[in-house]
Amino acid sequence: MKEKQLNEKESLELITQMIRNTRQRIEKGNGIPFLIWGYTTVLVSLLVWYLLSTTGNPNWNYLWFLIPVIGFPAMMWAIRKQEKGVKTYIDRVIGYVWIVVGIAGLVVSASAIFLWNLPILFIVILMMGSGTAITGLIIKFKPIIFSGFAGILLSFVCLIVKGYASILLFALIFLVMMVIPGHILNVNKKHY
Amino acid sequence: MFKPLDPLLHSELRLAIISILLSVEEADFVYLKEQTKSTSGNLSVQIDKLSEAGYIEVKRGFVGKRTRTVCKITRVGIKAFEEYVESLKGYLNLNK
Amino acid sequence: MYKHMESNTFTEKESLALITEMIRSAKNRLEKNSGLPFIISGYITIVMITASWFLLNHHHYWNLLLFSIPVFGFLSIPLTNALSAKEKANHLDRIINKTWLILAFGLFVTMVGGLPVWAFPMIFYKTVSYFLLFIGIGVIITGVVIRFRPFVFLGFLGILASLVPLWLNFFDKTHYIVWFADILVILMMIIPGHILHYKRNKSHV
Repeated sequence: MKEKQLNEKESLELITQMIRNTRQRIEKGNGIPFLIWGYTTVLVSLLVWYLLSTTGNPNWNYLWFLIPVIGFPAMMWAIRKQEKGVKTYIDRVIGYVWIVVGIAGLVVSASAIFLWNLPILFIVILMMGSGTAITGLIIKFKPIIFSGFAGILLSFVCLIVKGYASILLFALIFLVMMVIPGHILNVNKKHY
Repeated sequence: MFKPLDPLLHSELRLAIISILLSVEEADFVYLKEQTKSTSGNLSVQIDKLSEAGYIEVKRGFVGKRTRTVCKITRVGIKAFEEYVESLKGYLNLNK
Repeated sequence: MYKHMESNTFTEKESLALITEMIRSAKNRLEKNSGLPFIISGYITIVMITASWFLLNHHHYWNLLLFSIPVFGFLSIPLTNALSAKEKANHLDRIINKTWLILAFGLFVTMVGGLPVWAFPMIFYKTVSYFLLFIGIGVIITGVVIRFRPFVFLGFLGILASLVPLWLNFFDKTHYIVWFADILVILMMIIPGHILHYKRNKSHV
């Protein structure tokens, strides 16, 4: 654009055009965070379940920390890769929702492992479900809203079922709550 | 009612920049350049002018070896833009 | 000069409507919201927790009164909407409202799920724990969305504090739990709520 004098009508059109372009570019967000956390959780759960049920050695529970250890760096990498150059309030809010839920999850998990016997699987599903539902409502994407609420409701399956089987249920719930919607979101994005 | 149009905003590239920044939390140099289809030099100059007037906030940082410039609209900028639009209405003879 | 123009060009009225909306959005991003939801929920919660605790001395069933907390948390949202004079809900307000609705729902589900599993006496301190956890999360998210730092720190405090009832119960000091909870609600909701409300932008468009 060169420096050009505008008349009033052109000014109005320019403003409108710029605003509309910008709004069109606001994507609904992609499914990558869901896929990262979803797959990491599912795979680590299955690993822990396998090791626990075959050896009975409770120390394998420390492997749960693989989830944040793998998850957080993966998220950082994903964010860096998709440097869009523009941040909308939706991006900001969703980013923070996940940070908050993630840290809360970490705090509670650490307490469960080092301090008390908490129904940790139940609590984690509850929190991740809440995070998912909140994100879904913000980006107004029904499958994710639904999966989040489903997660919250299914969470106390892990409160009721005892023993190693609850870990399998935990993995299954995460599959349904995060992995599948994550894929749906990615596919959907291309048609947006 | 012919209120004077803010000369700082009444210019194609600057108006485009402000309109974009109005709609987002923040945007970087590359994005602004893409959207406005301007040259780096020109964009840089106009960003500085808007920044000097306090209409936008500019943060210069580094991403690896590259520099990254991020811009954000300010309250002052929003107000100025609002007044500009009001003036436009006057010129366009629209009743609201 | 411009990128391809839309085939359906805007009329001037439409343009101005769009622009006005964007201006309002931009202003809202920088505004401070009122602390009403926090004030309302805060006071109600204190009353409910304290009342439940004392009524528990009469009968275990008064534990069910605790269910009113998430219910009122849920209801405080439409109540706030009715009370606040803003003519249009700020999109940030909408996000915060949705967050609280979900957390209230989550807490409610937790309590429902816990009912068959926990023995009645345990309900009180476990509910308080989960409650603090959820409130902590909600307060942090709100603080981040409206850019009010104190909420972020206080929310974290809430999350950490959720462990305290468990600790108090472990050491058989359960009678302290209710006071602890009350203090935390005052710290996390009522005081910041009032501060926020006082500092809110008086000039609304």
